Amino acid sequence: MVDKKEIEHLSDLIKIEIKDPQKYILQVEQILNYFERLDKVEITAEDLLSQELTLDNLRDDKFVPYEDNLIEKLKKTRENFVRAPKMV
Amino acid sequence: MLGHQRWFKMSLAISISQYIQKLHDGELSSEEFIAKTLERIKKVEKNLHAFISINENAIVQAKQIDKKIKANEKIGSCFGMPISIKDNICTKGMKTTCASKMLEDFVAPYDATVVSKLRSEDAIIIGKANLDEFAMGSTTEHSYFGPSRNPWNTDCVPGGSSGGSGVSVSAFECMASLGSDTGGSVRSPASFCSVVGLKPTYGLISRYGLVSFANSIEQIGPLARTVEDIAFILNIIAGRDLHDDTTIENGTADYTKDLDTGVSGKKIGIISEMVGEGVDKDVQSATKHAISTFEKLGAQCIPISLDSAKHSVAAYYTLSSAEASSNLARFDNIRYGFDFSLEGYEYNSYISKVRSNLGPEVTRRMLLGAFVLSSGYYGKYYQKAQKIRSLIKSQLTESFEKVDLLLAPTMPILPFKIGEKIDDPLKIYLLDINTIIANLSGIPAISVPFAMANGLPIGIQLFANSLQEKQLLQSAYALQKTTNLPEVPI
Repeated sequence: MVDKKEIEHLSDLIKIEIKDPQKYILQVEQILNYFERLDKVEITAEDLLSQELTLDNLRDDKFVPYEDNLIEKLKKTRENFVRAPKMV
Repeated sequence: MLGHQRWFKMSLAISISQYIQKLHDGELSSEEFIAKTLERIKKVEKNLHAFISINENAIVQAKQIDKKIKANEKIGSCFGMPISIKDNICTKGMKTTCASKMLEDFVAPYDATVVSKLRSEDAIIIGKANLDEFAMGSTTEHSYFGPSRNPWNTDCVPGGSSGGSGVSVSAFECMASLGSDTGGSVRSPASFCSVVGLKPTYGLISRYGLVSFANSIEQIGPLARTVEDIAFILNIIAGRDLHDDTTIENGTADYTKDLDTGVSGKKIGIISEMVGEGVDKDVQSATKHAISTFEKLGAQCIPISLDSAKHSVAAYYTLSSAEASSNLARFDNIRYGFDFSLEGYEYNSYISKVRSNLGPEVTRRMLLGAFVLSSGYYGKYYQKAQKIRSLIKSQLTESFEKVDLLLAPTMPILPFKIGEKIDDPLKIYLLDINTIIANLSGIPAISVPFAMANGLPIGIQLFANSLQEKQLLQSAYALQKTTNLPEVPI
């Protein structure tokens, strides 16, 4: 069951302040109920293939300088600094 | 000076190869075509809202290309044709908003690989196309800047999340577009707007410069008005990229060659789970018609069961939401973003406060992602979803031992009214039932406009095995050749 407390807990995990948790309770619960079907699928050992990925064509580990001055493109900069919010 | 007569005669409704021929023969200039396109955009945009931003320098760029042509300098294969780019793909010097307040003013410092490849072939990026915020949605209703509208009926949704891409191609606001397809986001608008849309094999196209939503699933894909045009764009954007180590070497594949090979002797599997229950009657009869068309063309159609497909929606939304909740953690509005007072917060509250500007659909997905990954639930949802993903993959591999291609309608229903399903997210998620298997397994799929019902388009979808784009395009071309569809009414 999804309740207000659960939504508030999740909202803390994802770092999004949710002003109206009520709005999300029903929808999130309905979707999670639908997800329940995943747990009911019988999966035999043969199906437990892991995701295989072989990378043999990696680029050389070489330093390539980036010419653009990226810091100029950020906001609230002074010299080479980005201004962060005051947190007390 | 350009004669008035010629100005009005010149049509935007030409294919890429016709455009190139005209430019080559000096019958048309890039500037004329771009000017006409911008005029068209100005006329239809208030009804359609396909774009978030328009390239202010398009005419200047077109003039430069015309100059190069006149001076007999080396010219790229696109000859200044207008192409729109989904606004979650980075374009240097133009905004890339992801249709989110969080990136309202973000100007990317670099071009995505696909964009730099197009630019180096002298394509003109005419504008940035609307989408659901961070590509999360199937209707383009979840854009912070407001929904796009379907050119076939402006009360209806254009599909999504690459809705602006589908609309701009369909309504002659550009010649082709790039979208991104995480669960069907290229094919859905292609189907709903009556254009062709391709989701390529995972790794065929570089994702460098695509704002990440679900890295293990998503691919950039082209939308255009014909299969030939799709093949042309694919030639330019496919291939290995040093900036994206998941890309595959595709050699010197030329997708435009031998498109008219036909389907004679090919075996096509009809996915039983995708043509029956839950599929609209008009869509069902269009699918039947497509099957008989393929049979007439000499293909053999047999039913194929893919029973894992019925769990694909649950598996996909579990995995993609999990990946999204971690990918979107980077948006803190500190280094870039909108103006938000930096003063006076309790420790930690700034980030939560500023992130409350993410839209409701993104927030919902993040909640789901955090839930399925949280301790105690991981085995029940995420791990099971991964197993189902493997199961889908192995069932598809088995199927492709029996058949060359698979077929299903792209969307189970016709385009519906804007706002009709917005309060029922699960219903919207279930619309992806026919498209998701391609994303979870990495195989390519294409949507081809095939029929109309009540003035609304129906697309037919074909799937092929990994890296079989050529075969996929050939079959799509064969199907396209049998159709005679009306021109967009706007």
